[in-house]
Amino acid sequence: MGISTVAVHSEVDAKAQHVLVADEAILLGGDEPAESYLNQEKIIEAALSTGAQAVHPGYGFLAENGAFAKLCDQKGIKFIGPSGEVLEAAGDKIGARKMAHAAGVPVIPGNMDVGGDVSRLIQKAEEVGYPVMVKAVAGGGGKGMRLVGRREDLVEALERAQSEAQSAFGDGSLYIEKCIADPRHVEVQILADEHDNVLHLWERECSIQRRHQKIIEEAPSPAVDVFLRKRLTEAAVAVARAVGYRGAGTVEFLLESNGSFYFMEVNARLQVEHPVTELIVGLDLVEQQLRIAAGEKIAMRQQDVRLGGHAIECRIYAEDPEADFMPSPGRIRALHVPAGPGVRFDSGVESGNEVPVHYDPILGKLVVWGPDRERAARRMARALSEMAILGVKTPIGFLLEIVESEPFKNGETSTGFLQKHFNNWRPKPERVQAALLGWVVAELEGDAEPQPATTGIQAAEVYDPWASLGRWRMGEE
Amino acid sequence: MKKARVQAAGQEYELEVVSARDGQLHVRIDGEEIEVAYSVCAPGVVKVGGQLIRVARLEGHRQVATGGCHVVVEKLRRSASGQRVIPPEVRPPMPAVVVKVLVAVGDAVTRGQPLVVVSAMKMETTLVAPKDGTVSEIRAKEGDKVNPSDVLVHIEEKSE
Repeated sequence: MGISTVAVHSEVDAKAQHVLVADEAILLGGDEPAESYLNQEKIIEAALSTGAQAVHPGYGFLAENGAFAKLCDQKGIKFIGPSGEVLEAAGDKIGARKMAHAAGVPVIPGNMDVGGDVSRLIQKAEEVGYPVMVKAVAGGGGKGMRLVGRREDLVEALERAQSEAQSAFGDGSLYIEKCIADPRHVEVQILADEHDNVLHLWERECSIQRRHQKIIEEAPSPAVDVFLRKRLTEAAVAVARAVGYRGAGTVEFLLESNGSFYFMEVNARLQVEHPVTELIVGLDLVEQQLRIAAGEKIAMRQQDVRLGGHAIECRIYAEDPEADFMPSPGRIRALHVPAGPGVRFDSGVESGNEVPVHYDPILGKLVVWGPDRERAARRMARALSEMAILGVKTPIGFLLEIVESEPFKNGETSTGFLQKHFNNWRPKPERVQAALLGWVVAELEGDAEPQPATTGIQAAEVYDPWASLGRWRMGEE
Repeated sequence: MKKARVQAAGQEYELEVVSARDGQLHVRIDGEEIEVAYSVCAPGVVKVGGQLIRVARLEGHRQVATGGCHVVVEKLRRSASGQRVIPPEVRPPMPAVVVKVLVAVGDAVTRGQPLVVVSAMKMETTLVAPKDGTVSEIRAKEGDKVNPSDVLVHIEEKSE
């Protein structure tokens, strides 16, 4: 589109991928989000000093912050997303619930107004019945969210969620929702322009989650037929119209096995999993965001939006699937990325990069397209089996065994999928055996240290592991 | 290397190299005889039994990737009696900030009991007691920035 870019970054991100690819980069401040990525004044200052006409807020931090959108507006900078008022209405999860309810869309039983007082939350939990979900009013991405099965665990969960929400969003307010048993997470992509056009780009299913965070997403959903698709997308458009949505956004639903669905929330931003939608509709969603922000009309009608084939995304985080997905920071020693038709890897790292401890440790998103779900799943399995990331732990092998599994192939995905089928997962023994043989050869042949393509690792830095005692991870069996 | 005891994917294995010459490897894994062809393709890349395997040497272990499977292989040391040694110290698994200390010195704790809540990468993680015992020392307080080398809680083992 020929648009020049300015990246903003914290100190630790000075050599991050988004900084390297941008035309210009501005240092915001220290690594604490409050000093950099949540520092509204600094970001505005960066935009003004570089002459940026618009700000793309990305996925996290200020992406759904109404005050920031308003501040951009005051300073004459276009915020790429809905207006501050809409962000506040949609981003406030309670307000959105009320609004969806008013628009005739079913919502999950729970608090319909903000109750800062803990006793009101406890009372609501009693009212809707356990298990309940504790959620952050300003929440997203699983931060500040807890599943509570028993009354006696509620107070501790409220405390943890409150402090997590406070540090992640600067707002610790919580609400209670009834927990829908083992639902699917299905969401509808919306595009809305400033000329009253609201389109949907079909649904995505994002049921496979760990720590309430999606790790595998696909489009379309294997659980949605044409009739349900019609109801879901109509409900999503109704919600988007009710809030006066502009730009790209997502309306999230929980889908029960009996086909009933409940509005969950509006994600008033581009989502991490947007590539699966891009691949089935053949559109670049960021381009659409930029065009809408520039005041253009969406250049197509609803009936022209195609649904072609099937796309699957696997999120590759620096985390340990064998230890409760604990983050695994460190230096990436080797990175081997699969390629081929219908295979895309959207990533922010290179070999030699340090994965910092400060932020969400996502390394990249492996996305595949196939003419149907079965072929997309096969392609994903092939791509994952060719992928290697060494230096930090990743769930690549775990994701591979999921997409190869019968329940996944049968489309039996639900938010309880991992708990049900992959609890205490370990790689298959034959794969471990192959790895052991590789270890033996490396041991015999001496130092087979891969050299990162980028400089940074010096021989002197390489620590001799055999001189020291191997350390056990604790609290693990 | 002739024999090694390693831990990989949560299990222990006894490895023994019987022979390795002319590109032929003969090993025993927990007594099972395996004979395969092998070659070194590039630094960190080997081929064993037709499978491409990537290996990186990290601190205290190697990480091996093959066919999408990623495994950390760690050589084990044992105590004189052959027992696995459970360290008495609780350390954070990564650089983190202490959110809350849940125990006090002198508290009796059981294995798996939450001791300290730390926050890293915006996630809160609860560190638990590695074994039954008594809290003999606490070297962490709310707000401390801590590293994997720091002992946060020391557990004195129950006398049998």
